[in-house]
Formats: sequence, structure tokens, C-alpha cells
Amino acid sequence: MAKNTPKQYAIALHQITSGLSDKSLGEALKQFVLLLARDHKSNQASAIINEFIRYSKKEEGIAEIEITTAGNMDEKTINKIKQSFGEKVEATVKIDPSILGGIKIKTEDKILDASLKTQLLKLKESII
Amino acid sequence: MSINSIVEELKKNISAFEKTVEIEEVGAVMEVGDGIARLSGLSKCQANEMLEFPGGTYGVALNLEEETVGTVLLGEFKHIKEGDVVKRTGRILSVPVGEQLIGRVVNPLGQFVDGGAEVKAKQFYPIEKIAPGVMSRQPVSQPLQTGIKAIDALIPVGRGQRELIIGDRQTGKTAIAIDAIINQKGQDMICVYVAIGQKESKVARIVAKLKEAGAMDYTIVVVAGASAPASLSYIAPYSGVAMAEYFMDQGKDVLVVYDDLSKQAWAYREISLLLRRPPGREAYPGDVFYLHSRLLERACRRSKEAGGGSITALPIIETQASDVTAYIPTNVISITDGQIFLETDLFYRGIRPALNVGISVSRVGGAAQTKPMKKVAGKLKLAMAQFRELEAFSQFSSDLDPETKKQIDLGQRLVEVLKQPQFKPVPVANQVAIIYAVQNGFTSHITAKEIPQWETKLHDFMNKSKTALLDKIAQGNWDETIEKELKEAIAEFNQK
Repeated sequence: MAKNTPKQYAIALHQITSGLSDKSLGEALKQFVLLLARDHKSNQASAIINEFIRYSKKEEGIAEIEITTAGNMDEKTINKIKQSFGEKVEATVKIDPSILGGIKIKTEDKILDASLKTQLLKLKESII
Repeated sequence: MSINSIVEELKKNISAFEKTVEIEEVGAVMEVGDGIARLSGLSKCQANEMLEFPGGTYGVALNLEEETVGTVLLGEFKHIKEGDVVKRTGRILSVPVGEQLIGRVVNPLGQFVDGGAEVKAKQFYPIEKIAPGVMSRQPVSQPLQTGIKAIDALIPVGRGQRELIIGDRQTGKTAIAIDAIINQKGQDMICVYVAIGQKESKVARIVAKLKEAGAMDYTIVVVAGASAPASLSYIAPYSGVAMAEYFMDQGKDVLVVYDDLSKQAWAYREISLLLRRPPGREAYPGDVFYLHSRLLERACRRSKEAGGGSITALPIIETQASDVTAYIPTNVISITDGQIFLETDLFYRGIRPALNVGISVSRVGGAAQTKPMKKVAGKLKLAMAQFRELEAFSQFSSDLDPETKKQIDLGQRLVEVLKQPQFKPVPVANQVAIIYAVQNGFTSHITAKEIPQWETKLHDFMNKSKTALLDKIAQGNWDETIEKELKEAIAEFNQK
């Protein structure tokens, strides 16, 4: 039998735990830990937990984004950006003066780059 | 240009610039080490796509798996760490091509490494390309003169052929390839010399020799040195042939030397094992045959309708203790159109180039030989074969009948003729003259040992006073009058 990947364990964990009450959740988790021990996978627990967090967020439609700006940005703008990425969005805001201006948004596997720095670099390329 | 018009021009340029949001697909480094990296994300990544790592390092996606992408890094990777962002470039691995590369030393990515001026490339070619198909090819019919008597006469190479040079270390494999490059001077050929996993000092020496001989005017040197990562050794032959294909597309004839493909196979084995591809025989991965076959198939002679031009490949394979039955040598022997075998004991007996004419073959080159060369080479082959049969008896020469003695004597003379110092290519017409002279007994007044000296003098004499005759032979003409002229010329030289 092929080895199970952390992702497969994470999916399994998500399926058995979704919609359980607190009491039965404890029992389910206990069984899951025993399963890991039996499969000699306890050393991969942290990878499985990370996968679980990612998978559950995706299942519940929570998008994670990282917004980088050059200076401080007001709440209103941030909320507006969040809205354009869907209903449930978790955003972290980073301040990086080196991008000069504009914003840079990182989603799970894409970077939307509207920073002044990149625009200037592109202008330079188009002229030279 | 006035200041105003400069400002106007600048304004126009800036206003033409459109502000767009750059969308980049990114992944993250999961693990890195030994020149490979495993990445997560990048779900739309293509095979063989270039990926940009932080710090300007590039990688190539080789393994596309369900969750991860396995890449090899082309260059420095010490600064790359887990979690680093990797961007897709959307470009298949390609190299700059064009005239600006001629006379330069470049690395397998096409960057200049000879310290000369940077020249921006106008065109890029992908390094992996499907070889021309059946309909766009035509049979080999034009000779490629290597300037080495033994090869041009006995193992002729045609334009578009793939002729393997195989032998142990220190048997003069590179020397043959370099001589062949030097002899292309004035033949309207472009040469590409690909050095894979070789000492940088050796490459520097070769480049200096090529410069000295004036061969760098039409040669590109591609270097993946011994200290370069395995990934560069692996892609070096493909970049070399991509550069060659540009010139073939211009209708030119190109000669590519891969020195050597065993080191490339080692590099590919290293990468494959690190990427955890299952190992097979001698720990090479299953597709090691395809590694070389797809490369050597790109050597071809294209038909006129398809644009003409040709790529001749001279791959080099180094054997261990003359073992040609090892995996890589048998593979490459079966792919190529013939092989030139070099042997250590011939080398130490002073027969240089140390090629074993008995087992060396050229499967298609015969069709490309010029008429005069064909005439003299036919007899030469026969005489050499008879000599090899009788060689063992030559120690008891006193007990032999005169006929056998004559054959042994002729064989010994021919062996002397086929010896040739390095960096001294001989034009084909002179080759015909000297082989003809020895075959027809014009050297009976001297001993076999004196032949090399006699030969130099004959070439000097012919080059000085018989240029018209040499030109006729070089153009491929051969009839009774030319033969008679040649006979008279040699006799005239002997009179002196």
C-alpha cells in the first residue's frame, strides 16, 4: 500500500471531526492520535496540523491574504480590499517602505503586484 | 536632437506606458539542498519551465507531482531557504542564440564567461526541441573533412552524421575533435564545442589553442566546468545544439562536439537520484537512453525544401579500462552512425592518433567521400586488413615468402602514413597524394621510419609547385589524366 501523505491524514481528520460535538470530538481526536501512532506518523504531526488548518480554511471558504503597503492604511480601504476577495477573508497587513507606494496582495498561490516599485521598473524596461 | 524633442519623445514613451497589475503565480520552497529544491504550490507549472528563486537564481521544473514540484537549481543556492517565495516565469528553459556568440565562451545558460563585452541577444531558442522528422531530412552526401588522414580515408564523416569518439582517458579523444574544428577553417562551417564537467584549465588551454589556430572566428565554446552544478552539466549539450540549430536555420553547416557525454550522464544520474527517481542499471535512471537519443537525433542534414543546413555531431564517450560493454557506451554506440575507437596500447606504441582502424566504422560517411579519396581509400582498407592478419608473423620475417613480406612492408608503411601529430590537419588533396604515393611504391627507396619526414617534404613540394593538380583533386575530380599527373609529380619530387 502506498504511504499516506500528511494531506491525506489532514483530509481524514477534517472529515471525521466536522460537525461533532465537543464530547465526541475528544474521543475522535484520541482515536486519530492512536492511528498516527500505529502508522508511525507521530513525527509528522506538525505537518498534518498545518495541512489540516489549510484544508479546513479552504473547505469553509476562508481566504487568507497578505497585504503589503508602503505606509499605514486606514481600516476602510483594508475592508474594501477584503470584500473583493470574498465573504470570509483573513488579512494580515505588512508595512514595507521599500515598495514606495501602492499595494501588493499575496493570496495562497498568487501575488497581485500593484506597487509603485514594480510599475517604475516596468516603465524603465519599456523605455530602455 | 533638440532638448524639446527629447522631452517630447520621453513624454510620449511615458504616456504610452500602461499601468497594469502584475499577477504572479508563486510557490514556496519546502526543502532545498544538493542543487535541487522541492516546492509546494505552483499548481499550473509546466514541465521544463524556468522558475525564479530569490536572489536571481533560476531553477528548472523536472518533476511535476501531485502536491510538489521537483526542481534543479541552475547556479548558486546557498542563500535559498525553506519558505522562500518562488515565481513562475512562464518560459520554457531557453538560451540566447545568434551571431554574437561566435568566438565567445559561454556557460550553458548563454551568459558570457570569457570576460568580454556583454551583447544583448535578439533571439532565444528553447533548449529542448523535437528533432527534424523523416520528411525534412536528406541522406548524408557531403564530406566533413577532419584533416586527419586515418579518419578521412578510412572512417569518413559526412555533414549531418553522428560519429562517436570513444576511448579510455588520455587516448587523444579531445585532440581529434579539436583538430576537426581547426580543419573547418574556410569551409563555411560554424563549430560548437561543448565542454561538460571538464577542468577549467583544460578548457582554457583548448580555447587558447583554437585562438592560435584562428579557429575561434567560427567557433562557440559552451562550458559547464567541473565546479559547476550538475544541472548545468546536464543541460550543456542541449544548449549547445540549440545554438547550433540557429545557424542550421540560416542554412549553414554546423559541427557540434560534445566533450564528453559520459560526464553528462553522471550529472543526470546525480540529479535523478536526488529527485528520487528509481535507479536502474549502474544506478542510471530509466530514461538515460532517451537522454542521449533525443540529443543526437537533433544532428541532421535537412533537405533543401526544409531550409537546408546540417548539424554534424561528434559525441565523445570515455570508457573505463576499455570496457565498451558498459551501459552508456553501448547506448551511444547504438544511437550514432559509427564510432572511432581509440586505444591505450596503440597510443603508447606511438601510433597517434591511436585509432583502431579494425573496429572503427562509419556507417554513412562512405557516401560522402570524394571520388579521389574513395579510389585510394578502397585499396588502403584492404591493405590494412591484410596487414592486421599478417602482423603477428612479421617478427619472423626471414622465413616468409616474398609476397607476404611485401604485404607486411606495405602495411608498415601505411601505418606510418596514418600517424599524424596534433594540430596539423592535412588538406584532403594532400592526403590523397601521400596515400597514393605509398600505395604505388614511390617510397621503396626509403625505410618505413623515414616516411614522416619524406611526407612533410612531399607536401611542401606539392603545395609549392603543383597547386593546380591539388585543386583538381580537392574538387573531387579523378580520372586517368589526373592519376598520371599525380604519378609524374611524385616521380619528379623523388628525382630531387
